[in-house]
Amino acid sequence: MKLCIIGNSHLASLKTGWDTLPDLHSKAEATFFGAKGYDLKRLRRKGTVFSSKDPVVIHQLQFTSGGSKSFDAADFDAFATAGLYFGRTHLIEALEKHRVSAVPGRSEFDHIISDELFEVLVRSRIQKCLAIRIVKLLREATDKPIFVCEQPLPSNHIRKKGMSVWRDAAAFEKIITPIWRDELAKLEQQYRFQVLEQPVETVNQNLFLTHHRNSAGAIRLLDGLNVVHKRKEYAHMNADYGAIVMTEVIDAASRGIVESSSAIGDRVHCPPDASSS
Amino acid sequence: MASPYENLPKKAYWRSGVVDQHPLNPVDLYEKKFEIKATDRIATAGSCFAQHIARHMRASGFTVLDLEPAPKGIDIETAQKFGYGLYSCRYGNLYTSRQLLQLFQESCGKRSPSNAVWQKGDRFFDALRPSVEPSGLPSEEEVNLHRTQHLKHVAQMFRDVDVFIFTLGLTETWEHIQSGTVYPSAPGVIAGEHDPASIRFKNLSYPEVLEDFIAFRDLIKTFNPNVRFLLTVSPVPLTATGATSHVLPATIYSKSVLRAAAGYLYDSLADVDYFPSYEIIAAHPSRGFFYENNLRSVASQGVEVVMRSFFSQHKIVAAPKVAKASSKDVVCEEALLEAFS
Repeated sequence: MKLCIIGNSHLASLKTGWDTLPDLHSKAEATFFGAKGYDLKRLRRKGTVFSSKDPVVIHQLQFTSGGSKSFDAADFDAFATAGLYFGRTHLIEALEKHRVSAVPGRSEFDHIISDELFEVLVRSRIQKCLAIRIVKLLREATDKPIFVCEQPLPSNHIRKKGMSVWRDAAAFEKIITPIWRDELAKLEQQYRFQVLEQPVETVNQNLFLTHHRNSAGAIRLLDGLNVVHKRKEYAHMNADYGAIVMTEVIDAASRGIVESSSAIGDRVHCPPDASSS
Repeated sequence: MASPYENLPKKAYWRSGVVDQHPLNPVDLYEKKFEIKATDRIATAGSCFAQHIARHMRASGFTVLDLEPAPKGIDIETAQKFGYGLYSCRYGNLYTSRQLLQLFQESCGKRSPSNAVWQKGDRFFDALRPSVEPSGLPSEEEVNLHRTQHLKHVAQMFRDVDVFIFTLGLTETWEHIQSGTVYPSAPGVIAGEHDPASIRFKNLSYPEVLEDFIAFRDLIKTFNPNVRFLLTVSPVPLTATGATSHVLPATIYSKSVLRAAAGYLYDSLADVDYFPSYEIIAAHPSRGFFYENNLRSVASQGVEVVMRSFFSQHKIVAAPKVAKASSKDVVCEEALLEAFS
């Protein structure tokens, strides 16, 4: 099974995690394509081939993949995305200054918004995130299974920063998750992908934040993948976390490919050449 | 003695000041009374037309306050539908001088509005800004909570502002008889029900517009003594009149009162400037060219000419980034009255 994993800085966790799972390497071959932040906004499709005209993006694709400046969707059996602003992390962040009256939280805020606007906000953030944009692009090129991994919640040590929005993450989760799941159900049906929410064992459910043990020693997405994030960096996860996620991806992909091949019949689908952005 | 009309500047004569000028490029129509620096904190309010001014000034590098920004992640169209990004706070359109005065009084605890929550079905609306929550809110308490939060930001805005730009839009309003509270739209248009026993039509007179603005100015100066004002009159006609006269003379009356009040304030107060956007759009030398087909909405070309004239005096400090906007980009609940015609 050939897997293509696409992501931003969070890809480093999955890549370093994958390197700790030699037993799975006989089962699957994973190739990683990443670029920091929003850089993959500049990923373009021509036929089934994905590349960028931006030299900064090309350089990042090269060092994350081990030398490839582009990838051909036809070469892979399944795809997964990592990070790319897809997750409840980014929905909680939206509440940094704006709150709904039913759940104002304990931390400081500036503005009250209506339930109606809150729902619009949550759905809009999901629809517009970079991961969904990449999914749409992939779906134009292939019918093969796509898995979208939720970007991890910050480490629970983020609470040490003071009365930030993260002190109320558990309260906000209760109003966010129902809308998140409802919106994803629609998107999953429309674009035929599967969401892999953050692995339960990595989440401190009382705080709705990631256990610090999954964050300590996280590696930055830089050439060589050997620079550790600074101590007070809370957003990125380590190789242990990446290994848990990659195990889930392999497991889901194994099942997904079987389901996909029985449902679609012909797994190989090459749409006509087209430029898309 | 020679005639006092001899040797006046070109702008003083109709032929050289108007006839010989191209309507798309009016010259010397406006001379600023005071400088607006890039660092001056500008706040905007008023009727629909003021939304254009705020957008262009922000895009041109001026410091336009936004005390109630939209949450990050919603598009501009949705944000505007919920009253964000139109003015410096989320108060919707302040069509009249009375609305402006009462909002400021309320924000500093000197006034409490009456009949301030209107209902439509099982939803509740802030009667003083009924368009900012298009579907209303689930309870009266929720409306009051939102309003309390909103007023904190309004008070902050009036404390912080260096230049307050206000577009006088209408003289016609609807007034709570017992308390004098005025509303931006009549009950029954967006929400609520019209009860003639408690709410009446009110057409502000010239002395009332003057008194309102002077009272507003006096009060704000107690908090913010250095604030300056830039007045404009909206060239957008009434969608409908609540008076007994025809809508055309009702419009001319309304605009004339506002223009005269703005003129008096400009002439008598050193800290009040007047910018003639109304004249550029509505006066006959432009032959109605700057209006859309409905002869009401101002076309984007008109807005461009107005803003070019404004920026000829208040120099642009950054490259303009503003996208061309049509009249549809302006949120105007008064236009809802069209539905009743």
